[in-house]
Amino acid sequence: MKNGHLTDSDIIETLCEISDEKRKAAVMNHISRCEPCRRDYEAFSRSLSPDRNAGMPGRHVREAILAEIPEKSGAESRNKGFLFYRLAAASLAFIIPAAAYMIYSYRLPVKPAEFAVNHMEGDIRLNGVPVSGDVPVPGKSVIESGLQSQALLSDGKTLFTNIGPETRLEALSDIAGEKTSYVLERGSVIIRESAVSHHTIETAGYVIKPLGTEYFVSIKNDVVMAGVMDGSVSVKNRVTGSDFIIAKNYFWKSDGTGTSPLPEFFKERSFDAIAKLYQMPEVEKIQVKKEGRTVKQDHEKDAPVTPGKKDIIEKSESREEAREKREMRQDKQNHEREKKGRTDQERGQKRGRQ
Amino acid sequence: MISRDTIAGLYDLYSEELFRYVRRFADSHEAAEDLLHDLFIKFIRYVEKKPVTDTNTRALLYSIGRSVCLDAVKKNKLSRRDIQDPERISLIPDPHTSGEERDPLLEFFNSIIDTLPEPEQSIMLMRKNGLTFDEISAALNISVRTAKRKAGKALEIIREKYRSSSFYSGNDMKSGDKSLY
Repeated sequence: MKNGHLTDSDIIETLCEISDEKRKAAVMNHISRCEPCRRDYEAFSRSLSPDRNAGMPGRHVREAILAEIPEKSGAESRNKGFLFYRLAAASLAFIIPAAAYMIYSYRLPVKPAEFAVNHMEGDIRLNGVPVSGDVPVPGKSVIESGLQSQALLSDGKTLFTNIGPETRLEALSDIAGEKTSYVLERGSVIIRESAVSHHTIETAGYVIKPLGTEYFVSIKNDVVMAGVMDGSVSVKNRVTGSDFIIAKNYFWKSDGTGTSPLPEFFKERSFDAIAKLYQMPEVEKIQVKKEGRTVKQDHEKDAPVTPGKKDIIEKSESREEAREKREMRQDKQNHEREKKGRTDQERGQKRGRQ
Repeated sequence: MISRDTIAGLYDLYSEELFRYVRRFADSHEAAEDLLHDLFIKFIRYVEKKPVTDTNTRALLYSIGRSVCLDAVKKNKLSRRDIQDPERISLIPDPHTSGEERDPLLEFFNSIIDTLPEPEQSIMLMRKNGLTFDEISAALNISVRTAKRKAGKALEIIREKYRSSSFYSGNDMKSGDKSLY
């Protein structure tokens, strides 16, 4: 304020929501009492009024847009019904001889397991190609899932790997071979095996080796998490070389919170439950203390190899600041360029006049 | 695949304000209708590939709308309104307009907004349509702070032109404030 009146910057900052609540309240209070300032405020506010004279788009625009989307017409439904009966007839024609063959050949030796990825939900890609239904997985493959997407990677008999949303899993060696290693770049996997295998899962900073038959591994915001539902899992720190074991019904996080018992809600063993585990580290710690169990292990000392939450927040803030500075620099350069352009133009005009 | 009903619902909800937005980039009502059509077609193509949440639909529509408009301007499909002197705006009624009484001051402000650089122009047009700064920052992929700063810069340009125009009657009581700027 100046001379008992609002300045233009008072008004502009209020309109742009730059002012804090206290200053905004003071401005609004002043406007209610001061006629000249109210006139100014109203004039500036008018520049932000909707342009009611722009008119409305014609009806044909709506129709043209909707025409781009195929409608599920009655004809299509009828075709689908017809298709269903045709498929059913074809299936029966196939099932009867197949059943006869199975009855005849049930003593034949079982074929070796073949790995396949089964698309369950959302966007699943195998080596960059979208997948639907069951697709055989060759060696050295990359499986990626989108938002709200899930897939099952399995041999149909002994190994079942549930791939969660926003996951990138790379199989380094022959997936059907004995020594397979996965690289989990992001997201989560829940693995169930009928016997202890020789698979390993590598993440940033850690190598996770299963010694059990049901466990999960997850990586989010550089925090690695592993939990065991059955058996145990060995975790090796790639930097320090130290390793430790996660026992059944425990989970571990690399952000320094260490090992904690799996909470009650994890009984459902879903990807949502894994996401919940990321959100409640402190609660679990308190529970552990209350129960009087000693879960502090040596590995906790070397756990924070990856940056902690605080570091990540600080990093994102500094990124934001850097972006601000970059944008301000660009603005300044644009302004200078415009100014220079204007000066050149003026000089040209002057010369023209001369 | 997005359903027809969803698109129809979104069109009914946002077409008016989006039309107001694209109309400022177009030199005719028909050209603005083409832009609105392209906007929704691009949106349909986009959501076929990526899921959209309710919270970012409006921002996404504006983001696509802006890119459609700027592309059209780049390809010289549109001749931008050439308003060097905002006070010499044409008040000849457009046959497609709602027939509401035209407000000369609002037209004056609109003509200044037409001459603003990007993204200040888009920010002002989005604010006029009632978008929050959160939505604007999402639509333009800039920070909220930057969006507010640029809106402030745009309002300062408007203030300068308003003060020197015949619309400004002056204010003896507040004349001392000008020295601040």
